Amino acid sequence: MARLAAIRRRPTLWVEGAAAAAWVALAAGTVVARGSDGSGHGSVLAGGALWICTTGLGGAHAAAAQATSGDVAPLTAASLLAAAPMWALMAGAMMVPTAMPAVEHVTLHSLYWRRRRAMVEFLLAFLAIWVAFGVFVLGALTSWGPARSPLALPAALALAALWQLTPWKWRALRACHRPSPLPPRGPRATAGTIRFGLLNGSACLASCWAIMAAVALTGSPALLWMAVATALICAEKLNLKPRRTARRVGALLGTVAFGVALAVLLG
Amino acid sequence: MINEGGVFVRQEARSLTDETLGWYGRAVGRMKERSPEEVTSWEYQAAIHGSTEAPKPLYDQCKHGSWFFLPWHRMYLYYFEQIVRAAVVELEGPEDWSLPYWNYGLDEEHASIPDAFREPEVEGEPNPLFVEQRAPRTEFEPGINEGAVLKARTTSDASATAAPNFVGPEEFGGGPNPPTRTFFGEAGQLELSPHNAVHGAVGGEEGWMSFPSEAAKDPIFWLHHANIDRIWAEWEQNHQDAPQPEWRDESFPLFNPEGEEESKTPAEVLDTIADLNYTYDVIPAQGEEPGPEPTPPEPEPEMVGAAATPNVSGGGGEMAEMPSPDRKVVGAAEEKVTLTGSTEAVPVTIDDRAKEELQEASRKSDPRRVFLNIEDIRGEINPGTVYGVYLNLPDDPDEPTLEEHFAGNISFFGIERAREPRGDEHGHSMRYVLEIAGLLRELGGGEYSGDSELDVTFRPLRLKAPEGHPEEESFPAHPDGIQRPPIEIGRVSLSVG
Repeated sequence: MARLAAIRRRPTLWVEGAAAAAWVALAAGTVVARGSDGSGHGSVLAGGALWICTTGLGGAHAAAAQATSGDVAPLTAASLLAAAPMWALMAGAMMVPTAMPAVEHVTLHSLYWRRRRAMVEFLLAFLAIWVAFGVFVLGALTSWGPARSPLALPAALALAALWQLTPWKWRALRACHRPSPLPPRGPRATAGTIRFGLLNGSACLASCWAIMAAVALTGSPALLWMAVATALICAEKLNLKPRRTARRVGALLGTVAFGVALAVLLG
Repeated sequence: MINEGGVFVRQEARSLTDETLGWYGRAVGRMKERSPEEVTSWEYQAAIHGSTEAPKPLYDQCKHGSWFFLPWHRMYLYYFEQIVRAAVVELEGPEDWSLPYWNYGLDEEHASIPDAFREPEVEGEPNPLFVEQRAPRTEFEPGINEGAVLKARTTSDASATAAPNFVGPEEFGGGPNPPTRTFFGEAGQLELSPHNAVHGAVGGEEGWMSFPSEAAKDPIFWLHHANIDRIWAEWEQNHQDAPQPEWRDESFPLFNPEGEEESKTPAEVLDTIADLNYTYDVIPAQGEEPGPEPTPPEPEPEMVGAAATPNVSGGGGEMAEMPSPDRKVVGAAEEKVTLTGSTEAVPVTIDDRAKEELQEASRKSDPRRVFLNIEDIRGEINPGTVYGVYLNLPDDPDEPTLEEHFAGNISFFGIERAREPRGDEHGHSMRYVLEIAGLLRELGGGEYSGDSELDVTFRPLRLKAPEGHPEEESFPAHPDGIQRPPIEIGRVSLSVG
């Protein structure tokens, strides 16, 4: 009971609940998608949106292609715009859990009555970085031929593995733990939380872009890949020995890249 | 010294009448003769704490700004003491040699470093305990090696020993960082004062004691840390350490006297007598005068936030909760503060909606606590200045006024490593928390006065000339024009919880 009461008192409980709800929505999307063949949704918008949340960008592109003439063609600006909410959902599910210490930091260092507002400001800024990245990746991958190669996923995983070992990755991971001033009240308070959200989101992006790009290339079931990626990112952000953890994550990604490449090559 | 139970007894250094410090000096000399490649050499032992050189095995291991600060340093001293003892025995000294501690907080006579560390030569030979790199004499204050006295406000452990719990920056031992909190350091009250303060006061602007990468090269470092460990051991007589497995079971490797790597966890070093076979001269021997049983903090069912979840599990098998860090911020300064060695003040604006709550929380009958948070402290290097923090300090205060308005001290040991640690750990910005409910009561006549602003003053705590020193009165009391490397305090805030 005491534990339950402590959980109820958590000021960040609603954010954790929202992240959990995003996972539920993604899982529901997977179930719906499995109930169809993925080709009967009529429009690029619907197909792209549904497939993004179920099978990743590879599926989004396939749906786009099927919904048009069967030829490979870049998604339109409208479809990219429609995909943004789906990316926000993905980012909310995957990245918000890794950003909970930052959300808690904003909460505990804001005047009591503007806590919720500060959390929203931070999350909007933080997720905006990831949505922008998502739209960029979606556009780049769907208009770039090699991204449709079966070897694209193992190549992306290998790239993610290599990124884990670079000093840039290490610096970015450190930047994920850097606070930014939070003035107490007025427009400066809003500017402060938004600036912190943008800085933290940028650091998070610099640290995790390669893993997320690889996740974007995964086929069905993307949900599993997403869950694994979220767990790995959480581990390296929150582990006591981050450098060792980042290297282990890199080794794991390299092994998976090798396995996937082997599976592709052996048919 | 060994007591009747066969337990090594660490004694107060300034009260020693035997040759303990003499043998320490000879053993340090012997360790300095060893190749720096040997893990039992003086250089290598110091580098385990911190180093500026290319890393070797177990270099840069020191833990600061977290709840591992106390257990890691206890382990570090435990192995170091055995290495020194082996050197003492090698030199045909006493087999019961134990590491002394320097209790600078006892009184003014104890508040300067022991004479054995201040003489450049002993019997015509260089003194291995002497280090020139300590706070030097300046036009403002005497030097450590001429017997400068640390002020009581610098050496105070009052805030630490008053802390009821172990876990948290406002508590005795510090908080977890990470996994739960990763942006600010979680230094506990004992790490803050006297630990950090004495490091800065002895090291000054450029001395070794001011920097984690060099501090352990100064032989006084080990006596300072023995004192910190002694304060912890005494606190443990009637308080409980952190029950969380994340704290108790984390493993730390060090070198034993044979030069082999050995690991211990905090849970394995909590009882110094049973686990590590040493004690302190101020702790009653077992069976002699048993101290009171450890008691958990008073249950406070109506408390809000962290204080509502005392971090004591009673040692049962159930996984202990991390204490909730929830505190309500009720006021904050609008501006940053930059400290460069002189007095600075900043007004903390109390929000109108929180005045009443702050007044209630400051009353003695209210179980909530009130904290002054000095947050987001940044700087390139430790300036070696210790600042007293005062609330609503009048102009030109005399000593009694300073005492009346004193909330605690802050200093910046390790600031150059906080954001970019050399070891495999996350960086963080420094932050200190001082509990001020009692002071608000005293200044406001029973509760917070209700003013819209609370002035927070940072004023350097300088070294004093020892009594009878020819220049006792010649140093200016409130000098201006000092320029030390800047320290920026991002925000000063007030919270209740």
